[in-house]
Amino acid sequence: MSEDGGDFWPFFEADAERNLADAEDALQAFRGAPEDQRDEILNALYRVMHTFKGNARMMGLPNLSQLAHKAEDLVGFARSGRAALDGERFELVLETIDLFAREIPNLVGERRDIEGPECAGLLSKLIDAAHQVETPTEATGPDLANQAVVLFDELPTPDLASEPVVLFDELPAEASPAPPERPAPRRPERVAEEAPTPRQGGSENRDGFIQVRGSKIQELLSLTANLGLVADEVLAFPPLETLVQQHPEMGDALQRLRSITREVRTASAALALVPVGTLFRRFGRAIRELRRSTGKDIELLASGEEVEIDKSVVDRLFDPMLHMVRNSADHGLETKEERVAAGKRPTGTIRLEAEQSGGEVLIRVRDDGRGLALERIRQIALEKGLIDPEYDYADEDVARFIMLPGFSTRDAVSELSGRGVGMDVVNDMLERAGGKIDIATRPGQGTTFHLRLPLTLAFADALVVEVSRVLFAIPLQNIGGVFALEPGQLVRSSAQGADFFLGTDGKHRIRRLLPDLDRPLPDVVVTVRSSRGAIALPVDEIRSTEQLTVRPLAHLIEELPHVAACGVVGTGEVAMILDCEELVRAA
Amino acid sequence: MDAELNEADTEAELDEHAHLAFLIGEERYLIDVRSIVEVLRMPRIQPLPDVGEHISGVINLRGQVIPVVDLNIRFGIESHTREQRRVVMVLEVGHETVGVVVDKVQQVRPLDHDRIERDAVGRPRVVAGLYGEGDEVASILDVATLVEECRHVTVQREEAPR
Repeated sequence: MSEDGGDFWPFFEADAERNLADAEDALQAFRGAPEDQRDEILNALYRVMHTFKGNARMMGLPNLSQLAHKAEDLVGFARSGRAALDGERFELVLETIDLFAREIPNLVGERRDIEGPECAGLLSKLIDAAHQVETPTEATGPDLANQAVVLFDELPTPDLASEPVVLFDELPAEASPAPPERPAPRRPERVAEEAPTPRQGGSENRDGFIQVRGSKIQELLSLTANLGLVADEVLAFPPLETLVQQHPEMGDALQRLRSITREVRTASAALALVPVGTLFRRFGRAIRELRRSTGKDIELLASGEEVEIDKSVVDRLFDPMLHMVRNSADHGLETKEERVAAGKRPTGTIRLEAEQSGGEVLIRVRDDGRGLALERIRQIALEKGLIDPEYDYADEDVARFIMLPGFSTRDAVSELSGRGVGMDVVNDMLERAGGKIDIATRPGQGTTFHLRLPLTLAFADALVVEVSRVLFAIPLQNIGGVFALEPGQLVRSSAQGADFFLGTDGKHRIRRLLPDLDRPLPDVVVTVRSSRGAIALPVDEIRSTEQLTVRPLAHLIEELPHVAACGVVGTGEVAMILDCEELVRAA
Repeated sequence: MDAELNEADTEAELDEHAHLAFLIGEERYLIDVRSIVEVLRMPRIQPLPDVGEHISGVINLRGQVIPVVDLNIRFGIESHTREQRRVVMVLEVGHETVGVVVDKVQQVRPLDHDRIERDAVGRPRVVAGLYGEGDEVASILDVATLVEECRHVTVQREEAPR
């Protein structure tokens, strides 16, 4: 059967990874949970173990399935109140999940079942533990636990297809701490047919979920993008105006076409959104391993897990974030002794935080460790000739030096506690996901990586403006206002070497998008806001407010400063979508 | 010009090592047709901010945004062709698609290997070799290098090949 399962391995691995991460979370939460929440956690734990077991069985992996089955039994005892999940039983379940987490990548790589002394030893311990609880012939716990097992023992039966869904909905776990679990794959064929899609909309009722292959969503998005482009093209067709004058009812229809196209775009883009929590949960295991390897007390806290973000962005975030988390654990956080000596809590904290802000998702990887050795970083960057010795860099800029290509070397590594290692690579990976990274650090208090990522990669609502024949698109969420530049609103400050716009919403530094100082200032300004403040952009012309179809910058032009991507506007022209955070930062 | 484009289309199929001849100013260049996606009449090119002079901007080719390089400027050869009469060759190398503006495309023809001179002294990197025909010499463009050189569009361009 494992040959039959050949094509399903990647799906099995993805599913297993998620289930195990969920199981780890549940175990972690279980330990400290108050009595009244323990049932819910157990239910969640039971569900994921059960799914995992079923998947392993369908893959034709008896040993793996057997281990999962036995661990599941221990959880089942606790659910039915027959034996609490504590002491050895807790440790055994934890051990099983750890073993799985460690071994699955190898098993998948070699396409084989788990085996060896560790596996055999654990299995016999699990069986023993179960045996101690079990009265061999009758099971008195709630039916559900046994019913589930029985159902799966009957596999494969043809009429089983819809059973697991029903089964899970019957579980008395409406408010489980883990997000709703997708139903167990029904038959091996189904596993392959359905690429593992992440659970959507973290807190929704799980009745509402169906699984869709990721590529189908991509296809829909791409079709929607094309539909949008064609609709824009049609709507911008000049003779339409005459037509509408002759047939006013056409005007209504066109208006509806415009608004429905927009809604379809937004709705289809939302299909690809998944909660960030699916990503955060994958770090639980990494932290446990890091605790082990560093010998430090580390706790991982997460917030904003319900924030949603494009699936394709999430997929590209894990590796760079893991790198940051590792750096924090290995080098950012001090040892217990050092922390106590510094008057800090002995346990170091790494926080993963997410927050939505306009069309962007902000993710922070924050530690409360020793902070970056800025002076030393400055020195190394100087020695390597990476920076201008004359210039007085702000601390924030100095921190960014660790991401310069060529910054990290072996000696830099040891001196800077490894912060430089591969940070340029991390930066690259993030940029490929459409993201940006900033670093904030305070000596003795810790380091925070600020990641900014686009909510969706498909569309952007923006104000399209023209400056010296170049079209720019300013994302709507960054727009403060559009103003006619009246005499008296312009303040020149030679001391600061800058011009300022005195608007109704304050004094904003004027920044020209293109360096043509010879031309007089245009008489329209757009104020642009970001998390770092606001600036005023003089523009020649306000074109329109549009929903742009976002296109990646061609590789050849991806280095344009302050430009996040291109967008195709209704007329078919290409606009440069401004990266307002970057624009304000550089102002 | 249409006749020339059609000619290019049909002859391209004759020989997979066929090259398209085109003019930059008065100079003749050859490019392997396998790297050519299509040839466009001068489309609307939109300028980009903060890029080198040789980058004309971007075009929207059926939804795909493609950067366009002006080879006359890149090579420092003055163009005497009216802007609307010039053409854009859309090239694809690996995963990169780039448009290059040239003055005129001529015809597609197979090359005679004996007439390719690869070791010309002082040959710039972007020229893979020289091709002698009668008393005329054409430069065979190395498309991969051309695309590679365009990568850092915000950086000053190198010396023009001569």
